[in-house]
Amino acid sequence: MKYSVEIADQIVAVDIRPLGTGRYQIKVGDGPVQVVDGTHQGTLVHLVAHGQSASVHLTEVKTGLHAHTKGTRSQLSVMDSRAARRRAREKASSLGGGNAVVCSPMPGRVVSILVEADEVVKTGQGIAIVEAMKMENELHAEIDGTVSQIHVKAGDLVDGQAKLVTLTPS
Amino acid sequence: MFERVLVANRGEIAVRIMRTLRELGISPIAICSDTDLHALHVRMADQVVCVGPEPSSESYLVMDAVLDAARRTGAQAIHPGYGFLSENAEFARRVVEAGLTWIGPPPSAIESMGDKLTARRTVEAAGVPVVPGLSEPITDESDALAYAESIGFPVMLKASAGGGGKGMRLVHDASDFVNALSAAKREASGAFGNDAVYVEKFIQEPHHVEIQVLCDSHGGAVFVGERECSVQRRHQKVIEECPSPFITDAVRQKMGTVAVAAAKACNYVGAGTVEFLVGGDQNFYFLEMNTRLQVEHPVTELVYGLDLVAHQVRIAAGQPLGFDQTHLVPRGHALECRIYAEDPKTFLPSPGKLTEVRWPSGLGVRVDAGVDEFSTVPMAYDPMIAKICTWGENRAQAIARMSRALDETVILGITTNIALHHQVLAHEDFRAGRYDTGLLNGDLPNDGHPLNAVEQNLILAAAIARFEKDHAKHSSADISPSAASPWLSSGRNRRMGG
Repeated sequence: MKYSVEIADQIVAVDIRPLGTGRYQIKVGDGPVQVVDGTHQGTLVHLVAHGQSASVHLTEVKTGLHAHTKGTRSQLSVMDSRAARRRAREKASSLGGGNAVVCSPMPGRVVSILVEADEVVKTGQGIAIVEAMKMENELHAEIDGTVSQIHVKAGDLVDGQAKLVTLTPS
Repeated sequence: MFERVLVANRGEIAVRIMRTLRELGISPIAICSDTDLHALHVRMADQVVCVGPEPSSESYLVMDAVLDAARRTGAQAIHPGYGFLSENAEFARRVVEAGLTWIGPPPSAIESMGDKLTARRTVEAAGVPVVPGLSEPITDESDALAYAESIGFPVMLKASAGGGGKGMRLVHDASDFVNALSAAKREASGAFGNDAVYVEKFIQEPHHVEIQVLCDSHGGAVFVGERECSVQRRHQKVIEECPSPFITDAVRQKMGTVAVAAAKACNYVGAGTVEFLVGGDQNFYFLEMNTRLQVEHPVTELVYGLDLVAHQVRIAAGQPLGFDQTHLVPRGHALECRIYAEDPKTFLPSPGKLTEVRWPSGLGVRVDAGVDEFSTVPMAYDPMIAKICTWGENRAQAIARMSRALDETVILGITTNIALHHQVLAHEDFRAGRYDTGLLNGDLPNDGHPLNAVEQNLILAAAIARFEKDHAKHSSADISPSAASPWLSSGRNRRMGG
């Protein structure tokens, strides 16, 4: 079975074959073929490879998987070949360009919108302030452009990933 | 001693206080907002009263509701924890007037020390060194700006009623002054219901060192060492330690003596903390006195072998301390890492449902958590969900133990700042004990924790999990013969819900 795993902005090919009783033969990217004993119970995957023991906790989220080991969490996603091709195209088309939509990265309350409709903005300029957990966070434009739409107003409660302001690239 | 005590707080501090109450044979009573009805602190209590909806201004901060909860549950005393109503003199006074015991200093002491500007004037009169700054809140922007220019940038804007880094802004340049001032006022108003902001000179390369004091109502007063709190991010403490790796023993004694004098000057009773800024030359300046339990009190407890909350309760019940300064001997070294629900790179908050929580354990590890695997971290409250503390015979052992404890910690469902802690613990300057409050302003070395070494394992684990899932979803037909034993595939299918 072939998968592609996206982790830390890289897409890595993984070839996994079962050898029975929880033993797998796995090749990661250009690395050597490894024999790994793995067990998956609830959120825990415990690996034994070359006598090395490692515990990884996995949890599914909207955007893929959260993988957690040694107190540190990483975001990754596992794709089959079709999903991997689609993802590769997405990555290629977004190269060099930031997002034209300024979103709230977390659930919170809009404190203020710092721009007006049709205003010309520069990359890095403050667009909105959202408060969550008693701290104010200023959100910035990722591109140069013009404000085409303001989706929220001061005082609104917003979800994570909610659209705040849409820019038209200049 | 009391039979029932109401804890007017939530999260880890409510849990921590209730633990001591239980040990003292006192029945703990919780209050909560609607959102928190099944929160961990409520589950720890014998009784609970819901005091209002989610926003703290409509629940945890509503004095009438909290007093009514105490009356209805037969509480004899109220422990306020930190934050919320803990430094509200009016509330303390109303608690006493209601015939209840306030587990905290007298309202008059909160008044003279609780407000930073009043505190400055009080200790200045007593000859305690203070940082140059305006002793009145800013009313006129241009006057304030002129003053800032006269003492020289950078300056610090601070909420008069403040704490926890809210309503604070460092201003490097006159051109940023007005914007920073309005942001500070807005945050101060939101967090404390009071938008008074003042300005003071920013001491370069400062250390934040604080002294713990304990005063009984019979004139007994001691200082219980210091805490170094210089690992800060956006003026919020991240890691604290006891003792400070920076100050000399002579300075420690001097600061302790001054702190006790400051406490006595306002007739302080209970546990309190006197915060100082210490320059590179070991000169120290009074910052403020916190008239309550501090978040980072556990490092003091670990090194001095006492329970500060138990002492708070006993002092409030009128008992004498029962020991003097000579009995307080520090032993070893302790660290505290504050676990925040936030992204360690962007520092954005990360509220949400926890799906799995495993805390570290073993020799020298203490965890004060406000959440467990059944908890949701609400958006409305402070992002600190837990404190992990380690004790070691010396600083190096405490650091190694903390690193190990953080490795054992599993928190799924939200993002935490644990990766940031790993980076700090691996930082050369931190390990050498050579750091000031600027430590987290610069770039941290990215390879602090060898994530790349574990990426391989993450990929292996994710691939195995996905393979098992795909295999459970389809049939077992595509699996190799050796793996397709009926026992194995039926076991897998059962596990995966297939």
